[in-house]
Amino acid sequence: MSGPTRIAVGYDGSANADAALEFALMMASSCGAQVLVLHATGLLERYEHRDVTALPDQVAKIVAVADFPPERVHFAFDDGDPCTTLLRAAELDPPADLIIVGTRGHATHSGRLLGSTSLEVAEHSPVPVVIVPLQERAPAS
Amino acid sequence: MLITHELLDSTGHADPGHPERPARLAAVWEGVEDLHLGTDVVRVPARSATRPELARVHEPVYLDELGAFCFEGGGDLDADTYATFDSWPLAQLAAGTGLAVLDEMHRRGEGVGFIAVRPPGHHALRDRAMGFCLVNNVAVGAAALRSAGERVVVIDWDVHHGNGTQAIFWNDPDVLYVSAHEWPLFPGSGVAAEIGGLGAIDRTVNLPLPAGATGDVVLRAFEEIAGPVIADFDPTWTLVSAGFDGHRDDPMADFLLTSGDFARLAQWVTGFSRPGRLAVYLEGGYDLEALRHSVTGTLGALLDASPALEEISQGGTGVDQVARIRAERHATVEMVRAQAFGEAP
Ligand SMILES: [Zn+2]
Repeated sequence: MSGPTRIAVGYDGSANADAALEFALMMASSCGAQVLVLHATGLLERYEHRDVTALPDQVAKIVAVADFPPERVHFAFDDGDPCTTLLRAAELDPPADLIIVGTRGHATHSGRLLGSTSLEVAEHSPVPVVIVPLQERAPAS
Repeated sequence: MLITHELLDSTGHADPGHPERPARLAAVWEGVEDLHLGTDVVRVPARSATRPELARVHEPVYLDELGAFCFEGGGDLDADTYATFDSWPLAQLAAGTGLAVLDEMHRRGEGVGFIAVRPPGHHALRDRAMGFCLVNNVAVGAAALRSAGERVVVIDWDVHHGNGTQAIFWNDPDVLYVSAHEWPLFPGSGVAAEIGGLGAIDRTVNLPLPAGATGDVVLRAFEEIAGPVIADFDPTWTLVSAGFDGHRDDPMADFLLTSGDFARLAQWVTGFSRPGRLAVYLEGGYDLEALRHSVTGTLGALLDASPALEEISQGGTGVDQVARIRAERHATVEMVRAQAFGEAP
């Protein structure tokens, strides 16, 4: 069995999404995979006219710091909620064969299945899912 | 005669600053009052849906989780959708009150049903809340009718695709789901090639239209593409997922509909609906004035009243898409039938 060739990672600009993206780039480096970075455009993002134009640059910076080939990273805005858009990535042609998601994005949740994008993706996904916790970061000295 | 329900709690299920807010219901009832129906209104008592009634369309484990989540104080279910301490009892009340209205209509055999409840429902999936929706009210209604042997068409003119309703009845040949919606837009589903599962081929009709679509475009898509499918299906009941966020003043999307357009859409629905077998469920609609007048337009057309309405809108984008959508649907239906049953396309 070969490793993943297309990794989809959810990205909402949160610290946890950064951690998920960093992990995705690390995995993709080791197996030569492409990385599809997905931002879900929900109802409120549009209603509140949230400025998300900086997200692709934020991703590009993380890609640069990771020293990952930028041509193997594709950023996309997709209409929907984070869970739905990630599951849809596994039905693309060609499909994502690995999904990576942070334990929690901007939304809060109680730790139960309900309200947790990561657990809901894991429950429904036809492909393997990696859930990345927010790492404790060393305080700057 | 308008068959509706007693007013529901107008303060519960609230999250400050969220557009899906209690004031929406007050605007809706003002829209009803603008029709001056007098004694021509029947209000049935509200009631909560039972667990078996909800479990026709939702996973029991989801219902348990949602109840527990709310009991613990609620919170955000996703980036768009919230639940509060009282959301679960109110969601049960919303779905059950819809059933109470349908029961009353069944008993009387006349009238037009109107179910003005929140939270809305058409994005709610079997096992997941989504897009402001917790329990899929119209699906609970359609499933109840279906279990009584009826053939139900759900007409969804909310500006967003009703992915939850579509998914719930995806493989059900006795429920026809028809949606016209802005695309691309949340929730990202609802392309023309989504035509139903192998058990219900051609029992889902999606009419994805571009931003800037006017009333004439939406009506034409419904008439020309969904019309023949509905005629073939011959529904015994019609439920409308009436979202009014396609109004030109609504902040949630970019259709250009007016209250006059909603009246025309409602008129179209009456053309294939049986007397006393048409009920309207509230879905979205977030500009309070637009919501009020759109409710007046819709119910006015269904009740043969003629309130003053905004001019119909015409000449917007998307007319050229109608033929393409029809062709894409047709090709997909033929291809799936051929694959499934070996019929020659
Ligand atoms: Zn809507």
